[in-house]
Amino acid sequence: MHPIFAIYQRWRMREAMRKCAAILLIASLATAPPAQAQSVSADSPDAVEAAFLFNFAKFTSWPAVNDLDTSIKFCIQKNTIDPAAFAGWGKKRVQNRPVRVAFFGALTDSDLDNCGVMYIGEIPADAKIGDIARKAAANSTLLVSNVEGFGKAGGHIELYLVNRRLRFKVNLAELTRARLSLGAGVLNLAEIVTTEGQPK
Amino acid sequence: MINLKSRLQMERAMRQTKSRRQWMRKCSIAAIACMTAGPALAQEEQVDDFTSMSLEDLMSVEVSIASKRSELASEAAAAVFVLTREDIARSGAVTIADALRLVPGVNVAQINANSWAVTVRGFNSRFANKLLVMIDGRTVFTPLFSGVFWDQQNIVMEDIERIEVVRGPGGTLWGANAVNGVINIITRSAKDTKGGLVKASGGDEFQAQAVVRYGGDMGENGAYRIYGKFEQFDEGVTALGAKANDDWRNFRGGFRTDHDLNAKDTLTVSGEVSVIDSGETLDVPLLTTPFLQRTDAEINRVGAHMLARWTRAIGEESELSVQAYADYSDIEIPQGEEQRLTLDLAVQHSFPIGDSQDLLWGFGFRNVSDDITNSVNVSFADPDKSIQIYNGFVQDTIKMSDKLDIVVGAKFEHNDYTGFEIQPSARFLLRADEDVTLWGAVSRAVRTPSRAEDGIRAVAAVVPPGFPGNPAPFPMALQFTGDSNINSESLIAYELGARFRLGDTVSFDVTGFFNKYDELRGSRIGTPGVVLAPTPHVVLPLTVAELVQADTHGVEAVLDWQVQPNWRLQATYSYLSIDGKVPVSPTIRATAPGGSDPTHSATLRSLYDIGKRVRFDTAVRFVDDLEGAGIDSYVAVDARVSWRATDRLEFAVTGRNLTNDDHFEFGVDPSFATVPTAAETSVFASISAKF
Repeated sequence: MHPIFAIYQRWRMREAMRKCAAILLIASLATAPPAQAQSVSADSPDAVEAAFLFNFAKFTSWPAVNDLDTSIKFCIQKNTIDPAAFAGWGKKRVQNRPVRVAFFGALTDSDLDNCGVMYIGEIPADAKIGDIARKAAANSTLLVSNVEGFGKAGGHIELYLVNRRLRFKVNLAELTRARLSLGAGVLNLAEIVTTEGQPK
Repeated sequence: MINLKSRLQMERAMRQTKSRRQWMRKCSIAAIACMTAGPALAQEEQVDDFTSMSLEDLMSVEVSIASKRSELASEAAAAVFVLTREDIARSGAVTIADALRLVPGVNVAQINANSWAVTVRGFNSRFANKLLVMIDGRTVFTPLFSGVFWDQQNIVMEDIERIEVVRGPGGTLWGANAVNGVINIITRSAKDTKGGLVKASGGDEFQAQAVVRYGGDMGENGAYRIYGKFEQFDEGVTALGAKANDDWRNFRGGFRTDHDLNAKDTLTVSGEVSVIDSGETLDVPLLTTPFLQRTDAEINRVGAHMLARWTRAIGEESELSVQAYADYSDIEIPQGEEQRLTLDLAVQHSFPIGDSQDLLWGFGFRNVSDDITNSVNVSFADPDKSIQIYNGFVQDTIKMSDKLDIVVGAKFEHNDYTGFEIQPSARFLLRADEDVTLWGAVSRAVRTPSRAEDGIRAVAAVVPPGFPGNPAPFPMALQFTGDSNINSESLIAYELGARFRLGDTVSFDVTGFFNKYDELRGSRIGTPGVVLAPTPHVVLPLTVAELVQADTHGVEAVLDWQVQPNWRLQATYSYLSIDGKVPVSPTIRATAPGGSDPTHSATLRSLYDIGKRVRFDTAVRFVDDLEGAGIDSYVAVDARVSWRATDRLEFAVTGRNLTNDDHFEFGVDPSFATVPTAAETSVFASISAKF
């Protein structure tokens, strides 16, 4: 190629890029959609914690579910995660099953027997994690909590904070005992723990 | 700025996008896809939760009610700006210096393809010496010239968790040299980088890049990652149109492990080796005709470090951490070679006193030993030297009421050059109401002398016989000469800041400062001496001396606006005025500070999600002229389009300096004879895959 032609080509490229950049800028500033009212409720980590629960449910296999119309019930301890974080969940589906969210006050509620996922934010003074886990195992309920030491005390999934981000620990042995399994994609992201006092 | 609410909203917005019509149009043969969004459709569904995010993405959402010492930026009694991992990725920056261009109050000027002048609040230079830069608690500020070799710090950008930029003195916590600001680069925990990442990029200026990373579990409570990176940058062109020999290659590899030893103790160990192969064009002074020769120079750098940090949580509110590292570097340039080994130990302990006070205290020790190979033009009287630095600090945060915090503290440091230095500060933070936070600070900071100021002999220029200033019949060498008795530069800084939240979607952060510097550097002209070998010439020593004072003041502002859940705008503006006081005397040579600092600079950034998988990000940057260096003001535009084909595969095309090819950002630095090259338009494409 003749050098002058090469210079010309280069100049053409630059011109094109300049025009392109101008269009990019105008596009980003001028064609953005008009503002709309948003109902914003998430001003706490609650929405994120709720989303973790939702994701856990997506990858959990429960034993003997053959009816796709049977809803997956999320049982949330009262005064833990803000109910607003679950707004709109009634319309969602997990594993193609409808979703239901219920809030419970006492761990002795008989209603807790058919929970698919149970979230505990506070262990009552008269309760032990091991006992809760045994009951959950009988009902194949996935137990999630942000109480420190929950996983090692026999809970299934413990959420905890590291550098302002939520992480989770999974107690595999207890999951198996409850006849539950979590997808490999979830386990890969988890820290695996065992119940303290038991062989690894 | 970054409060929890806006943070969550932002994260949500970045990931949740509504159905909308979109159309794409290829716009240029320069391989950059050019996109515009069509008119928005009414949003069909109100989505205000995170459930559509993957677990992996959820794990990167910041939620904290944070630990005592990692306070939220909006709660800090200082001018803090945070670049998150997403901010960096979406800027398309391939160097840390480029990422810093988006931070208010930070001035980044590219000198050539492999060197940058970066400063906060003025006094920019290739060896901008009033800014402390740390990576994971390891200082990367070289004591040789007091400054940062930015090419050597070009770590794997994908591994950076956040870059925290604190403008204003940080001496009370961080120690000497944090005069105008501190930049903390924090890399991701190995627990966050499990699995594999492969990334490849190619383009015209940023010619090639390959990043490989793999991470996984290590034992029951730990994780590791190993990584490697190679990248190559094209050479630039000098003002005369010549190729500048400043193309460079960056090779590095390393690892990091993070372990929970038990419920209380965590251990982080990391290490890295880097090799930089670069070059530049130098104007080298000669004692014979033509007295100045433009030559190609090769630069080779090797770096290696190993760091370990142990942290113990003591109860709910108390924490103890011990960190130790060793850092080795070898720099080889035509003017000589420097090998340096830094050993550093730092202990930090925080605990509450009663209900209303939090005390943070600590101490540290650093040993820096070097071995310098002298050359004809640059030599050190003591080419093999070790210096020791001891320090202790204490800072108390006193909760006066629900609304008012007072923070007082001081750092005491002893170094071998100037002895004992004290750097106190007093701050307040007032939560005036839910949406308004005010803060203010008065602090003192020092910059300790560099190794060069202590004992260098460097020929800066040769004046031919008969030229103005040289009546002698021989050439005259102007020789920068160190002085082992020189004092530290010092600063008293006054700062006031305010943060406002305007509704749920807008936040505004403004800071004003007034800085009073003393004992800044100039040169005393010494007595000329005649040297006969290797060729007869006159040596005129220019001995470094603390001759200059300066007052600076300025304003920095950030406006953050979440226009739509899928569209965020961020505007920044900085104003800086420097008033130097330089004594006028025939025996003094000193330039007024501020000649290489822009008075005004501004950025406008748009982060826009088009649909679920396509992101379109632009930035417009304005930098005022540099009066003292003859550099014109410029406006540059950067743009990036990315397409996430699947959750694990992403393609991106990035253009930088799109409207402004071949502009110069910095002049010739008086401390170093590097010939500047133009910052050019650069376009590159990237593909990254996770597995």
